[in-house]
Amino acid sequence: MSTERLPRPFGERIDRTRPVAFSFNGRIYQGYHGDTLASALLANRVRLVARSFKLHRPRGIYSSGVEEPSAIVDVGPRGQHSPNVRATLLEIFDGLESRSVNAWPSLGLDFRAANGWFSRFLPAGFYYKTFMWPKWQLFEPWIRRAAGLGEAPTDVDTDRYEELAADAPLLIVGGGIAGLTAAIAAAEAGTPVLLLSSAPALGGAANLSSTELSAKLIQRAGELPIQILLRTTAFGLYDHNLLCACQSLPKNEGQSRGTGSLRARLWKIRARNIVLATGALERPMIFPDNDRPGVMLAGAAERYARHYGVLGGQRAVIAANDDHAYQVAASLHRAGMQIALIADCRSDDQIGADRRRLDGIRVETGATISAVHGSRAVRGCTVTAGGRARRVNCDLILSAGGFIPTVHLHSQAGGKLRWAGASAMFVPDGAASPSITSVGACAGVFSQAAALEHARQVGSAVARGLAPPQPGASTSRISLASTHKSKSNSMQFVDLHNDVTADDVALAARENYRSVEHLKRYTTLGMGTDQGKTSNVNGLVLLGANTGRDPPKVGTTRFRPPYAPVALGVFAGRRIGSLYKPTKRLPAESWHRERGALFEEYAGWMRPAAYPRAGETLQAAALREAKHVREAVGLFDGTPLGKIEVFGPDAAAFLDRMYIVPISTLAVGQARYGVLLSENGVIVDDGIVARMAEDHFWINTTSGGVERTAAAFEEWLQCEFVNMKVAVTPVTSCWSNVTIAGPSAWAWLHAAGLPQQLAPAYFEHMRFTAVTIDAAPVRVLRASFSGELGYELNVPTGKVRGLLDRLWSEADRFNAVTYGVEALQIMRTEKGYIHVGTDTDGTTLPGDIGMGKGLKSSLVNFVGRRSLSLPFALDADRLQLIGLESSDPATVLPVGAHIASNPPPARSLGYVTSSTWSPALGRPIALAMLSRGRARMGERVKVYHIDSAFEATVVRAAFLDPKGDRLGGH
Amino acid sequence: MADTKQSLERIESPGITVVSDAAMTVASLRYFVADGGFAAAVRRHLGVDLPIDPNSIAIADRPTTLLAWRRPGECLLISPEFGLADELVTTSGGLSDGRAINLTDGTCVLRIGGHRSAELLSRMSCHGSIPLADSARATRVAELPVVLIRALSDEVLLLIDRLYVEHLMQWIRASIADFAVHSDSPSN
Repeated sequence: MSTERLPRPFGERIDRTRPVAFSFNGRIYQGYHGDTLASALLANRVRLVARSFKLHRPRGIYSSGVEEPSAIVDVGPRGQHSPNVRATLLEIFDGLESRSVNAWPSLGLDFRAANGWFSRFLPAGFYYKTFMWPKWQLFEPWIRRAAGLGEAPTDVDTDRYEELAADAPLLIVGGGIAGLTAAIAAAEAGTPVLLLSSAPALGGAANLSSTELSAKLIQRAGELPIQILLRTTAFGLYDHNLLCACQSLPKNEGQSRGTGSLRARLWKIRARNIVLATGALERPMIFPDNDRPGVMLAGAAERYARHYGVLGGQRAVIAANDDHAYQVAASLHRAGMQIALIADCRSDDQIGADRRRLDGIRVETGATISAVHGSRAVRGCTVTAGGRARRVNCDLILSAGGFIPTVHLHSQAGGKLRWAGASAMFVPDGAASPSITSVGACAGVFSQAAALEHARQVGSAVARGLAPPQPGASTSRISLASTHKSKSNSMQFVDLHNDVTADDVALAARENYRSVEHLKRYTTLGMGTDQGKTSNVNGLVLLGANTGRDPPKVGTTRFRPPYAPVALGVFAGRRIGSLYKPTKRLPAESWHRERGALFEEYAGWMRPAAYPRAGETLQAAALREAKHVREAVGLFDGTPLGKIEVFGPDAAAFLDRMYIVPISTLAVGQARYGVLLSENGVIVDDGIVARMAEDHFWINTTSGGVERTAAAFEEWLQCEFVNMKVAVTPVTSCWSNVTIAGPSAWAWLHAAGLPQQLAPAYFEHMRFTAVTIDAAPVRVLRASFSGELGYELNVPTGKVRGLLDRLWSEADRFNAVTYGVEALQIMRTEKGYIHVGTDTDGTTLPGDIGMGKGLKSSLVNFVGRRSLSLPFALDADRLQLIGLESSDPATVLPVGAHIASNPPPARSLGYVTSSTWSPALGRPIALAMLSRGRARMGERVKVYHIDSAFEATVVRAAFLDPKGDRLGGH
Repeated sequence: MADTKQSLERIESPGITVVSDAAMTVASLRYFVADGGFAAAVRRHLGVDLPIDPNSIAIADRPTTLLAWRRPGECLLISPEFGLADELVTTSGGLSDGRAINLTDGTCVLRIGGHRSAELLSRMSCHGSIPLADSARATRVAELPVVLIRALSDEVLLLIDRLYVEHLMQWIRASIADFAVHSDSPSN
C-alpha cells in the first residue's frame, strides 16, 4: 500500500529513500525510516487502531508522544512481544510486527464492544457496588480477565538491556530550545553538560515554528562540550539528584549478536545540578464523543505534518481554548489542510492570537462542539454558538485546550506547584531545590523570548556556581479551566485511557469523593500506563466544579516515577541468568570434584552436598557419610564459614555488647559460642568467637550470615559506639577451612603433622591456636557442629589444596571419608544444634532455643537485651525448640509440617524445622518449634502436612550424646 | 587460585584490556590514630605516610608499591613484593593503635587498560567517574564492592574479593560483547 506524504520540507524526520515494511494486525504496510508506527499508520490512512479499555469503543491516534492514551499496541512475535507500546513512540523497522490490544476476535469486529451499548449501566465504581453478593471473589476472576490492555509475553525476552552509571556537573533534561539554550550558556562558561532528549531529534516544539532558531542552537550545541543522549526519557528523579532515564536503541543499531539485540539502557545519573526543560503536554478539550478516531490533539496534527509529512485528515475543525489553536491552524493550512472552522469557546476579548494571519480561516467565538458524527472515523461535527447549532463536515477534529507543563520531575524532586488561573495550568512554585531548576514551558514560560532569556541566565548561573534565577511572570495567554458541556446525551471523555467520562467525575463528587486521590481510585481516572498525562488537570477541574472548589483547593495527585512506562527488562539490565547473582565457589572445588562431590548451592556457595558412590543416591550417600564420621573420621570443606577479624583496644568490650555471652572473660586461646541479636532481641546469627590476643579476635559466623554480621558490627560501631577503637575486617575469602571430625580425628591429624600439643588431652574443646604446617600459617579451632571430636583448620586460601593433599595422603590409614553438607545437617540434627535460618526465623529469641538462662542477670549489657524483658518475649506461649520422635519408626516427618490439635484450619501450635533419618539412632528424628514446647516433654502431638497426618512425641532436642562425651573423642 | 584460572583469562577487545595480576600482595591497614606507632611502623617499612585524605594514594619508596585510602581508618597496601604484607602483619602484631591484615589470598587485582576503560566501568553501573590520576575510590561495579585505583600509569587497578571475580569477569565479557553499540557515555 502506498503512503500519502506531503512534499518536502515536510517530513523532516523521515528518510524517503529508505522504505520500511511493517505489519499491523497481520496486514503489511509501508512507511519510511524515521516514521513512528503512528505516523506510518496515518500515512496509510489507517484511522481505527485500538479499542478502549472498558467500553471497547473504537479509537484512533490521539497524540504524537508519550501522552498517547489510545493507540497502544503489542509489538513483536507472540510470546516474545512487548506489551502496551505506544504507537506514537515506536520507531518502525523492517519486519516490525504490531497488533491492537483489547479486541476480540478482531479490531473491526470486537464482541466486547457490546459493553458500549450498556455503558449507562457501567458508571464509575459499578462493579464495586454490583458484585457484592454473594461474594466479590466469585466475580473477580471474570472481571480480571476482562480487564487490562495488552498481554504479558510468555517466552523469554531475547533482547538485552544494560545499565549505565554516569556523573554530570550539569544535567539538562529536555532537548527543546530552552534546554539547548541553558546547555549552551553553561558549556560556554566552561561546564560540561549532559543533555537528555526523549525525542530522536533536538529542537522540541520549536522545530514546528522556529526552525531557523532551532537549527542554530543545535549547531552551536554541537560545537561545545555537550554530551547529548537522544531517545532518552528521564522517568524518575530521586534523592541526592539521582536521575534515572531510559534510552531506547533503534532496532538496527543494537543488532550485534544472536537473535536479540541491545534494546534499551537504564541510565543512572548523579548530577551536581539539574535543569528541567521538559516542555508541556497539550490539554485536551472535553466535548461529546471526543474520543472518536479522527479526534486528535492539535499540536500532534502539526507534528505529524511537519516531522513525517502526514496530514491526519483533509478537512479539520479546531476546538479551541488557547491561542495555540491559531498557530496550528495557520501551519496546517500552509501544509494543504482545509481548516473548516476554529470553534473557540472563549470570548473575543480572551483571544490574544493575531487572527489576521489566518488567511480566511473562519473563527467562531463562544463556540463549542456539541456532537461528533461518525463512529469509526469522524465524518463531521455539530458546532453550537450563541444558542445556534449547525453541522460542519470534516474528517478531523483538533483539540487545542491549552497546555499542561510537564512538572513530573520537579514534583518528584519535592517541588511545589501553584495554579496559574488565567492560563488554567499548574506551574512550579519556585525551584524544586537549590540545584534543580525548571526552564521553558515546564516552568510555565510560554513566551519564546522570555523562555530563552531565562534559560540562558540559568545555564550561565549554574556554570558559575550561582543560584539560578526564577522565571518572571508566567504566560499571559488565557485558557478556560472548564470546557465541557454541562448536559449531553453522549459521553464526554476526560480520560481516554481508562474510559472515564465527565459524568463519572460528577458521580464521584455526588458520592462524596472529594479528594483527588479518592477520585482517582474510584473512577480510575489517571491510572494505568499513561498516569493521566492528558486527563489529570481536566479531571481535577471537573471535580472542583462539581464540589464548588477552585482547582488549587482540589490539588493534584502525586507524580510518582516512572514518568513513562519502562520495560521490566530495563530494570533487570544484565542481571539475568548466570549474571543474576554471583555464585561463590570453593577454592578447592576441583579437589572435591576429583573425589566425586555432588555440588549444590547453599547460601550462594556451590558446596559438596555429598560424595555419592556409583549407584548411590544423594540421601543414601549423606546417611553413609554421617554414619562413617560417627564411627571413624571425615573431612569437610568448611571454607564458606564466615570469618571476621576484630581488632582494637576496645574489641573485647565491643563484642560483649554484640553477643549474648560475655566475650571479655575469654582468656587468650579460648573460644565461645555466641548468638548475635537485633535490637528487637531476634537472633540474627550465631558463631564462635575466639581470642587470638588481648585485643584481637577471630570470629566464625554462619556461611550465609557473615555479611549481615559484619554489617551489624559496622553499623553499631559507626552509629552508636562511635568512641570505641575497634576495627572489623571480614576475611572469609582469605582463609579456607578444613574440618576433621570423628573419633579418629586427632590420630589422622597427628599423622599428617599436627604437633602433639594439639592432642585433645592438651588442646580442649573450644580452644584456638595458631601453628605452622609446611611453612603455612594454620589457625586451629577445636569446635564441632557434628558433635564429634572436631578440629577446624583455617589456612590461607592459596595453601588449602596443599593441606588437603597432605591430609588425604594419610586418609586410608584412618579409614577417612569426605563428607558433605547433607551429612553435616544430619549430624547436627542428631545433636539438636540449631541452624540459624532453618530452625529460627524472624521472631526467634534466645530463650526460644534454650539460651535464655542467665541473660536477665548478666552483668554485661548487649544489643537486644532490653527487648528480652518486654511482654512479648516473656509470653509463656512462645514457640520453643524441642525434639520430635515420630510414632511410626519408618516415617521421617516432613519439614514445614504443622503441629496442631486438629487438622487444618485449626490453629497451628508450631512446626517442624529440621527432620532426618538418624543413622546413629536407627530411627527418624526431627526438631520443631512448638508453643510451650519445653513444658510438653513426653506429650504426644499430631503433625499435619498437606493431606497427611502423623503422630509424634515431644522429646528433648539433643537426641544423641546429650552430655557431649563424644566431643572429647571418647 | 587454580580453580578460577580459566575465568581469569585475559580479556582483549578494541580499546579495552583486562588482565588479572596474580602477583600482587594486598593488605588492609587499620589504624586508630594517623600519627601513632602503627603509622611510624608503616613509614619505616614503606618510607611513606598513611594516606589519610579521602581517595588519596601514597606511593611507597619500593617498586610499584602504594597505599590507597579506602575509608576513614583504613588504607590498602598493594605491592608486587611477595611477603611484604606478612612483614607488616608481623611488625604491627604488638601495636595497639593499628594492625595490618593480609588480604592477598582473598583479593584479586585486575588491571583495566585502554581508551574505553572508563566506558566499560560506566556500562557496568560503576557509580562515580573513573578515579582521577593518583587517586582511589571504593565503589561498586556490576553491583559488587570494589576498590578502583589509578596510579603510576593510565591503567585502573580494580581490587575485588576473590569470591566475586569470576562473576565480574562474566559481566565484563557480556558488556564488551555489546561494545559495538556505542554508549554515548560521558566517560567516553
